Amino acid sequence: MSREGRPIPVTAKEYALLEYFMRRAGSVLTRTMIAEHVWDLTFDRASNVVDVYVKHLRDKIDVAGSPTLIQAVRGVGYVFRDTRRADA
Amino acid sequence: MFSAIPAALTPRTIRAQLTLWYLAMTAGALAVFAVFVFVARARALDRETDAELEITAQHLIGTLQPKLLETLDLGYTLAQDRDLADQPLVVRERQGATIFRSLAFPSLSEPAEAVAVDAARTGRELETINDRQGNQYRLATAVVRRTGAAPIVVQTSAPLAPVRSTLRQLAVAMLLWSSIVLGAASYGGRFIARRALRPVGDIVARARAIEASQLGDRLDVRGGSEELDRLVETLNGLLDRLATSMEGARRFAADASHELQTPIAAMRAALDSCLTNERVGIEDYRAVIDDLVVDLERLSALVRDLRLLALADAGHLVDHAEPIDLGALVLECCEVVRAATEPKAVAITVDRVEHVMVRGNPLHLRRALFNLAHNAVRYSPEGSNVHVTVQPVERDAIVDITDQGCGIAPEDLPHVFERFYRTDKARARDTGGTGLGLAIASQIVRSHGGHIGVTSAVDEGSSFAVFLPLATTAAPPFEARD
Repeated sequence: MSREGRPIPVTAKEYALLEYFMRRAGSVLTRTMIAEHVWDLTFDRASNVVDVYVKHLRDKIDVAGSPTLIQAVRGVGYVFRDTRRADA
Repeated sequence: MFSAIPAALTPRTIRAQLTLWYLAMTAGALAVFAVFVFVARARALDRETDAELEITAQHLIGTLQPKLLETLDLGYTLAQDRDLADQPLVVRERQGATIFRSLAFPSLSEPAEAVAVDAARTGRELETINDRQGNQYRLATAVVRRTGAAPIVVQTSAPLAPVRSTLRQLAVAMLLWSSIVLGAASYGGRFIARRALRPVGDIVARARAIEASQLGDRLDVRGGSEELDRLVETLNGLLDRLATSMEGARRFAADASHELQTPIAAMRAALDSCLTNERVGIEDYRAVIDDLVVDLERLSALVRDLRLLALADAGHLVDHAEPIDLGALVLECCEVVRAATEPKAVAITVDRVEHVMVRGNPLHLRRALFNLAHNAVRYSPEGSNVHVTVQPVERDAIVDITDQGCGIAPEDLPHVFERFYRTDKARARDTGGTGLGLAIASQIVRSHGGHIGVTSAVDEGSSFAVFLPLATTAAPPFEARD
């Protein structure tokens, strides 16, 4: 996996998370939806797990200076936006 | 139809059945006894009659001896003797022709006469014969040898009527007494049966009086018999278990509604204050909504937990068991726990993992392992370690999760798997759990045929060991994940 030619090492779960975001790009995904889809998880600490993995993923795929690809929606969850396309 | 008849005749109460059996046994015993006595008495009487008859015959022969030696017209000589008229006596020639017949001798029926003649010829000593009226007699025959003359035969008889009448009286007396005894026995049997079964009636009455609302009541019927005492003990044991189970369910329902009530009350309070406050800005609304989301999450987690426990109670947790690589499941769980507890600085170290196979529902098992590992991290101080191992021991797969946390007090240890049970320390920290984590873990593991062992020392740490039966099929080769 790479971004703009830069190779990015990701774990299997991070890859699954990113794939889910990209497939549903533009729509808001709740933490529960993400947890159930990526981890098959249905327990109370799931949201924290999602937050931690999203943070890891952002650290890896975001480029300094440009806005993050995975935006938080307060109190709900996250949304994946391809900012370049949005700019265009 | 055939079988319906005895079924209809069989009494329905044990009391009647016992009485009937008792009566039948007594009647049987009496009948055997009566027949034995009757037969023995009849034989003895017959022997007596025969013995007396033979004595009479010998005596007669003795008194007649001088006359019998006379050869010329013996019949006339005997007829002259008045004394002989009262004696039942017949004197015959050896071929059967009658020489003399006394008046006292019964007039025999023709077949009886033939028997008497035959007895005279063959010298048979004792015969039973009938007279013309059908009365029975015993006939004794004796052959008298004479010097210088042909032998003659002397016959005498005795009526059997007195013997028969004695036996008839005996039979009547025995029948009468037997009926009296049987009558008494039926009363006695019914009395005994009623007495023996009275405690059963008491037990029934007592058991009927116990309602679901007062399962604390116990049957206190005693002093019946060992069997009934055992029945009472068994019923009381059943009541104990029911009461415990009912009490558990009642407490669980009460606890559950209390736990559900808390976040609802919090939400209600937040909303009320928001509504009553006139000057609320958009940021305040946001804050309230954020709180509500947190409360809602907690509520829905609680409801999910309750549903899972209800499923487990109903025995539907592991409907479709599939093979699971427990080692891989534990590794995945630890990774999720790390994420779930970030940024807390507690290291989860997997010291040893063997990829042992178990069977079950992977979702639920992961849930159980997560709860245990998550708990371990939650109650561990910053900078400490949680050690995890997975290995097979004999027929079990054992997952050991050991923390260096605050530990569990000995008095709390037996209760940690109870629903909504929180130790004082756990309550004081209020780490936000539902209070069902360990209960769920334990329930899930038990549903998979395993159990969880726990050892703990206060301020040193706790160790939870999950025992799960190994799958019988050989584990497939493990493929590295991640």
